[in-house]
Amino acid sequence: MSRPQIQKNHLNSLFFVFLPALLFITYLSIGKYYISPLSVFNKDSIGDTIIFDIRLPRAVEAMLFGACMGISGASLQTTLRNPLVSPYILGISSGAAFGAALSIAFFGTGYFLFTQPSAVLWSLIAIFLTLSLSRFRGHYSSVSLVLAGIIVSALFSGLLALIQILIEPEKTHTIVAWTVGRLHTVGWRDVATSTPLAILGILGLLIFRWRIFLLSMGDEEAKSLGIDVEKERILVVFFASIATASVVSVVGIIGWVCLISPHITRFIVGSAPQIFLPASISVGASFMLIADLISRTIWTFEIPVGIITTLVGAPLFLYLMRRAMHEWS
Amino acid sequence: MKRLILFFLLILSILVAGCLNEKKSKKETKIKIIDQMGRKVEVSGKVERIVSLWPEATRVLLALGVKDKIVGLDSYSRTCPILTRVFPKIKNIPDVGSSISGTLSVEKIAQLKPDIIFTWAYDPELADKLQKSLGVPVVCVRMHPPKKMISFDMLTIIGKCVGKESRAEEIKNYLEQKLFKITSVTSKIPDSKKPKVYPVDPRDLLKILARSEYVNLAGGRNLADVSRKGMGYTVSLEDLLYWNPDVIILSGFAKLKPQDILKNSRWQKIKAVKQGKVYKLMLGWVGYGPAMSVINVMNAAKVFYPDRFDFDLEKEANEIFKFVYGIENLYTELKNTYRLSDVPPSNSEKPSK
Repeated sequence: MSRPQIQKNHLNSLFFVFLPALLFITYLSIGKYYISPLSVFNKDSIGDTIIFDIRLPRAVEAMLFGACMGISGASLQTTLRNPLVSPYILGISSGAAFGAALSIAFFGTGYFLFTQPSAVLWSLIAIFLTLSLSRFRGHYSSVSLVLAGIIVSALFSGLLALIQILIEPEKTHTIVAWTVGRLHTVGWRDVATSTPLAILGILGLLIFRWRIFLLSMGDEEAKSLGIDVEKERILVVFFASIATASVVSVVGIIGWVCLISPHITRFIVGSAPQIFLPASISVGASFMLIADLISRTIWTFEIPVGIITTLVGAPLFLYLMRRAMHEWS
Repeated sequence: MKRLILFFLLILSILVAGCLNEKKSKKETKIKIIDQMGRKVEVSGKVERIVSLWPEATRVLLALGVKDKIVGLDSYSRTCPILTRVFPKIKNIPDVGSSISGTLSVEKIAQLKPDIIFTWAYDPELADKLQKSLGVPVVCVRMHPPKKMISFDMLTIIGKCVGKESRAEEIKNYLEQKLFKITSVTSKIPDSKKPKVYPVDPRDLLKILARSEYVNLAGGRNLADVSRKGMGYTVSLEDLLYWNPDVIILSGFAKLKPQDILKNSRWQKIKAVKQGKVYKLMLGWVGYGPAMSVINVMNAAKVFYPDRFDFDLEKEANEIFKFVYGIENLYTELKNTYRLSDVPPSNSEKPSK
């Protein structure tokens, strides 16, 4: 590797550390209402509550969500060598939504503790189903994996709709709110619930980043380098599912982040794995901070952040697609 | 051949008889009414089979004493805590789904052969569609039309349709009097002296209930914009901390309780929480009803202005339910079952400042 290349990488690393940090501070200081900096540390003022109990956990959860989605999307797109793959397409999110709905339907909304394990469990069941359905003549191909993912997503979406119709209207509302995805209710308890699994997933993918790189070269090349392609691929998918389920089970389904973050990252740094995967964490987190900042300040009432990520994500995706068309074809 | 001719004659006679029958029924007098969406509807003079797709209409039908003529109901009418107590056999009436949850079964309604259908006034297109496809008059009604805050026209319209006009007028006059006792006082209070009120959605602490006209009628400054369409909209806790409401009102039949707010550390700096003014008392279950709406206004007025109103809410509410539905102690029963909040007594407790 030539010298200038390395310098550029150092610059990149600095950029990717400072970008989310800067956005994080901006996020905390901007809101619909002005809070004087002095009042923040005054225990009796509302500034204290707003910053430490409302904006801070929300910002942390937004970053965690973006980070998990960014790296899961990046790893899956690289491993399966398909720019359209995302954790959502493989059925992970539909599985999680179904799991949450099932728990709400059986145990009600009060049993917060049941909803999340159920969502994680069912997202793993969904990804297991996707993996087994895509096993064709003894091995997995990236096309069959995507197809199986679409089938599993459809299956769980159907089951979810069925639950919504069958149960009490009161619970239906909770399920709908859950599936749309929301950050405005996030408190420290939610952050605490999603952090352990999120870190496990992210660390797993980071540790695997060289193998992900090898997998991205194609099955034949990877095999010739001594990689057990199928086993490694399943491990990558497993860690990506853990990371996705950890945050989706808390804030619900917020679309486009997992698809768009890897593309933005690739646009900035290219797809060299030593920087692509860590950078996608930073880009995902930054994207979510910006989206949620818009969602809570742009209108007199809250706009679900999923709407903003879609409205921002779709045109951005189109732009990136036009720019990078030659790379994919 | 003879047999064939005989057979044809038989068929012909049946057809003719059928036609004659139809002609007979067409001779009945028709009543022309204008529903609450301004739709002109023709209703046959003798209504025997009623389908209601909107709990507010079902409540009025029970108040008018025509429960035996109801042949089909929407899912929410059949689960309403008040309706199931007033008319326990409501569970035996066929369920036709609901347009709110997207489960409405038009075939099921057709099978029930109604003479008239009552539906909500938020979806006139649905009403037109049903009327066209089923050939049955569909009447749109609602308790809280926009701009008017509250209207008892629904009683008059349904009363006319089912031939219970005098009973409808009787209830209407009675409730209007009760309501006037409150609004004649609250309408004179200047806005600056009104408490700020946050009406909570039945299912979500961070959602404003937009259909909360009772707060405005009872003399509260409503944080919800009641002129907005739809059921409610999401707010963040940040908004609430800034608005700093004086009173928070939760829905009576919902699972959320004052303790959910009072014990939550993130809500502690809101004035209503500091002063313990978080009440669970709003009566409503997919819409309101004549009795519910008036009781809600009385209840809220008592909460906002304990010094100005010295009636006994529980006694008054029981009396209203008795007058409208003919059931004793209904409010007391609801209060015990759903643990509705006690409204502050008028003299002993003064608002702390």
